[in-house]
This record gives sequence, C-alpha cells and structure tokens, in this order.
Amino acid sequence: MIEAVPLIVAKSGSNVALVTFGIYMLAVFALAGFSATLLRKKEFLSEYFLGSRSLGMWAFALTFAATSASGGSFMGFPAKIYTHGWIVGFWIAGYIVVPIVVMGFLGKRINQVARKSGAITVPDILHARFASPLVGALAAVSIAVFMTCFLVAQFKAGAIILQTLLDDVPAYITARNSVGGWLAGHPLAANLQPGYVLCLVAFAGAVILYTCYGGFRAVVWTDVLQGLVMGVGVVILLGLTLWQVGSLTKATNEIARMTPPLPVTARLELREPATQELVVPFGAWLQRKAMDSEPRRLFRVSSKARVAISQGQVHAHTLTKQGDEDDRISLLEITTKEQVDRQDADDLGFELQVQQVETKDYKFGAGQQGVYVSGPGPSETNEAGFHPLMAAVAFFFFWPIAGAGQPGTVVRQMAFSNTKILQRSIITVAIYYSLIYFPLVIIFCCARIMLPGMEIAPDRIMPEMVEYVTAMAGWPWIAGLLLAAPFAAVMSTVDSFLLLISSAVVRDGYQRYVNPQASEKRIRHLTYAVTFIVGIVALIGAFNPPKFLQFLIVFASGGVAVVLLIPLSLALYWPRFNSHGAVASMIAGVAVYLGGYLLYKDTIKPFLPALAVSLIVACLVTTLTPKPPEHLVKRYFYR
Amino acid sequence: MATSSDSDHVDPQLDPVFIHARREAIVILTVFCVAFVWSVLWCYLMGYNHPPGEPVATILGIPSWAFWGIGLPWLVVDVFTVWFCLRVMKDDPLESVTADEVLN
Repeated sequence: MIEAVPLIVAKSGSNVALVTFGIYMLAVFALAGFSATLLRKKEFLSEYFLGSRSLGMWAFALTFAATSASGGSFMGFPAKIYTHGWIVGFWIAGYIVVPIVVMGFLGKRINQVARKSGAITVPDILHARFASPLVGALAAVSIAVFMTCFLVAQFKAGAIILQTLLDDVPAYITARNSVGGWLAGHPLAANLQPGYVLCLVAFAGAVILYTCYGGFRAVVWTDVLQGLVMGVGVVILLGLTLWQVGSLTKATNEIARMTPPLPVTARLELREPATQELVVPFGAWLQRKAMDSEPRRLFRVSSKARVAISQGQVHAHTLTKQGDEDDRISLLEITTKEQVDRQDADDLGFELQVQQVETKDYKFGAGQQGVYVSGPGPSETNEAGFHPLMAAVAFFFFWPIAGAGQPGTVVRQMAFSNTKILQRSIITVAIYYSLIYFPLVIIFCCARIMLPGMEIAPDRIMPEMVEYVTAMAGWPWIAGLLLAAPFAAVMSTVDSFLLLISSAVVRDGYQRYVNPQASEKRIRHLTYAVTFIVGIVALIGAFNPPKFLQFLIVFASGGVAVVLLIPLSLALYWPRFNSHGAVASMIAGVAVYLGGYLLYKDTIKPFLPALAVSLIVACLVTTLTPKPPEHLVKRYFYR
Repeated sequence: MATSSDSDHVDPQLDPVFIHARREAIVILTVFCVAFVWSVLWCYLMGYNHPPGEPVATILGIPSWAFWGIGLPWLVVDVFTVWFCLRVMKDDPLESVTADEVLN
C-alpha cells in the first residue's frame, strides 16, 4: 500500500523541540516531588487541598491565572479566532474586567469567612456559613459533575498538543502503529485514532501522577512555572508571527479580502484503475485544474476516516463509522483567490481528479469579503453569524461572572495569606491577561494567512502554528517551549480540577457524611485513590470527544457558575440570606440552565436567565422563610 | 441586629472587613457596567455589518472598532485596577484559624 505523507504542516524532523519539552516536564515532576516532601510534614487535608493558606503574591497570582487559562485559552480560543476572525476579540472582551471582578468582588470576604470557619473547600464554606449539610452536599455534587465534563475537554487538548510534538519521532511512530494494530482488532475501538489514544493516555498518566502525589502545593508551584511559560510563550509567538507576516496592517488588509472556505463533497477519481491500495490522507491538498471558463479550484481533504482506493477501482471511498463505504469525500474548498494562487496541490505519487463537487450549506458570510474583520463574523452553522449582538452581551457577562463562580478560582481565594497579597495579585493578573488574550487574537488572525485550510481541524491550529513559525525562523528548539505553553495551560487546569473533584468527594462527601472520625492515614489513601479514579473517568470520556473544545468548556463553566455564584455572593454579603434560599437558588439555577440547554442546544443562551432566576429565587425564598441562626450571622458579619 | 448600607448609619458592631469589602464590591460592579456599555456599544455600532468590499480602517494594524472598543477599554480598566488596588482597597486584617473555630 502506498501512503502519501501527511502534509498538514512541514515537519522539521528534529527532536530538539521534544528535548526542550522533556526538560520542562522534568521540572514539573521535580516540583511535585518537592511538594510531596512538604506534605509529609504538615496537616494532610489543609496542606493537600489548600497549601495551608500560605500563598504569596506570585504563587497566588500565577496559580489563579494559570488555572483560569486552560486548554480553552490556548487551544479552543485560537481555534475560534482562526475560524471567525477579529470578532473573537469581542467574544473575549469580558476578560477586560475578569481580574478585578473575579478576585476583587469576592476575594477578601471568601478568605476571611474561610479562615473564620476553617473551611478548606468551596462546599465547606457554604456548609459552615449556613450550618447546612444539604447546601454543602449540593455544591459538592455540582462541582464533581461539571468539573468532570471540563476535564474531558482538557484531556483532549493535552493529547492534541502531544500528538503534534511527537509526530515525527520514530519511537512514537512505532508505538502509534502498535496501538493502531491493537485498536483495529477491537470493534468498539476501531474508529479511534491511534496517535490520539496514545497521547491521551500518556498525558493523562503524567498529570494524574504528579497531582496525586503532590497535592495543592504541587499544583500551585507547577502553576507558577506553567504561568511563566504561558506568558513568555505568547510573547515569543507574537514576535515570531509579526516578524513573519511583515506588518500587521498588511495582514489585516489581506484578511479583510478573504472569503470563508466552504465545506463540499466530491468524488475523487484516478485516471486508471489502481493496481494496489492507495490512501489520500487527511489534510492533503487537491486541485481541480483550470479548464474552459472555470478557474483553478483548491481543496483540502477533511474526511474523518482514511480514504482508501481499493485495488482495481477508480473511485476513492471513505469508511464510515458503520464500516460502510461512501464515495463522496468531504473536502474544504478554499475560495479566496490569493490563497488559491499561492497554495500548490500535494504530490501524492498518483493523480487524482476532483469530480462532481457539491457545496454544502454555509449559513453566514459565504462569498463575502470583510467578514473576518467585522461583526458578527462568518459562521457555517448560524444564520445570524458567529457573534450576534445578544451573544455579545451574554459573553461579556459570562467571562467575569462565570469566572467568579468557578470553584477553581474560589478555592484559590481561600489560600492567599493577607490582603496586600490580594491587591498585588489582582494587578499582576490584570497585566498578565492583557499580555495573553489580545495578542492571541493577533497571532491567530495572522495564522489565516500562514496556514490556510485549518478549518478542517481547528483545535490543532495552536500546535501547528507553533511548529510552523519556529521552523520558518530556524529555531526548532523553541517549539518545545512554545508548545509547553498550551500544554502548561492544560496541565495547570487539569491538576486543579482533579483536586477540586477529589476534595468534593473525600472532604465534602466521605469525611463529612460517612466517616467524620476517619484517620488522617485513611483520608490520605482515599484522596490519592479518588484523585486517580476521577482522572481515569475523565480519560475514558476523552476517547471520543466533541469537535470544538470550547463547547464543553463553556457548558461546564456555565453550569458550575449558575449553581455556586449567587448562593456564594449572597452568603458573603447578605446577613439575612439563609440555607433555604441557598438550596432553592442552586436548584433553580441549574434547572433553568440545563432546561435551556436542552431546549436551545446552546450553552450561552440559558446562562444569564439561569443566573437571574437563581437570584430571584434566592431572594424570594429567603424572605419567605425564617431568619438564619443568630450565632451564624454574628460570627460572619459582626465584630 | 439591624444592618444599613448607608455609611453614615452603619451599625458600629458590624465587622469592618465586611463593610469595606461590600463597598469595594459595589465600586467593582459599577466599573464592570461601565466597561460593558463602552465595549459592547462601540463594537456593535462601529464593527458590525461592515459593507463588503470596503477597506477596513485600522490603527496599528488592528481594526479601528477593535482598537477603540476592546484595546482602549482594556488599557483603561488595567490602569483603574492598579489605582483601585493600591489606593482604594483597604488593607484589612484577615483572621487566622484557631482550634475553637474549626468546624467539623
């Protein structure tokens, strides 16, 4: 069988990037090991889940920023920018106020109330504030469920990055082929990509191991390292990108002339019957040469399955999930003339003709110039465009409000040591986000010029862009560091969420309700086991994940925020608020959110209504039910 | 235990950390609303429904609607954040955990 070389991007063939990356991973494990040493000397639960409330400025700021900036920020967000253009800068604009709102709005009070009550988890705070097991339990269950969804998305991101890094390493290729052979022999796993599976297991294994072993302090210290890598990585990537496009003005003007590539199906034919099996790989460039009045047309193979041309046949077929064959192949047609003229077709070793092209529906922006530099932005699926006004309003609120309700950020606000640390950290995070998010918009708008046709695999645009710009600059070693940036973002989020979920199960579930007298040794073993099991569950869920990472991330973030934000905010600032109001608020919020999602199949539309309902129900039920116990109000609101 | 949000009539028994945090929270939410109105209004009015084929105005290579509607408010809010944290946010003492206060 002749297999044409996959040509998503030119590979340097160098192991240098892998070495740089390997050094970074060694540093991560060293920090985890050092942290585990500290763990033995302190009270287990407080140290394992909260670092003994002793975070300084850099630790607090960078663990906050690194945990918030997840695979979504470095994989899903670039994918959106690449696919929809400058309007995604508006999509992320809510981040303007994220540091001051998320950290300033609740930080001081959360820290104070957590110290007064001895709380070390988010459900702990709510339980203590209301002396209500039910409130704590609801919070714990919500965290466990939604954060597990979030983990699935992060595991996918980590696997994709590793795949790009290892793609031309001989040992990896051998291992991948072995895994492919094994998967092919199991009907349930036949459609899984072996490279993805291998990298997923490797990534998940590494993160689960150091998180289990080192606990919160390992997570924080690795976050500091990862935060530095992310910040430096984006700055370097921005510099390399601008250097290679020459001028941002020129780049933006070229992007303004682009029209969206269109999804099509076509039949691929050989001139003569094949004498052996041929493969047209995913990502290959094909052309339909100019003839008569028809200009040259350029396509990129976007079929999920391999396209095999069997012996004696002239037509290519793609294998569907049911094992049936379909002779219409999915392609992406490039419609911008400048890109068509610039890109050559791949030399596959055999000649293919693209016939009977049928264009699929493209809802907004097809054939229009200017869609990548203005709103609402092009969209294959939405007639109103990518970012209509109502979505813009919703997302501006979503980022800071959902951010304030994320258990990962709340638990960190329980861990800083004094108010000065909080003040300086807010400033640090504000500057840090300014250095990351807007530059990413610039970088990945320019990526449309440098790497056309990546709509076939948008979540791969970050690692592909890193490999491309470093190869073009002649600095392959820096690819390892730059790839460490999104990898760091994913790891820093995964490790935090693993701990969140295990704390919800062990501290807020087992220790609180099943065995309050459990020994430290039992708690320790249970914590390690639960952290490990949660990681495995998320790993299994990531074997067949959705196409766009951002969908899962927004769903999970929104879900946990509608459960926690209103009860937590009112618990901290409204003395009259009681446990009945808290329970009703949580249930109402999640019911509206999930119901809205099922109705609209959209994760952002129900978010603000769910919050509004949560707030209204909280206030109504509280005022209609008895006042909270006086000793609790006195404890948390009075001298 | 009557509480009041009027600073002239605040219950003197209320925890000052709670009072300061509440006041700061109100300021922060106000800034949030101002940033929202500025950014969303500007980006929508100046950045949407651009006539196809017309050149796009840019500042430093950034579409001008994005510069004025996202870049500039981002800078302004960062400056405000620095000022607010260093000059407005009170440096309140946060109590440490004692054995008596730890709840099981």
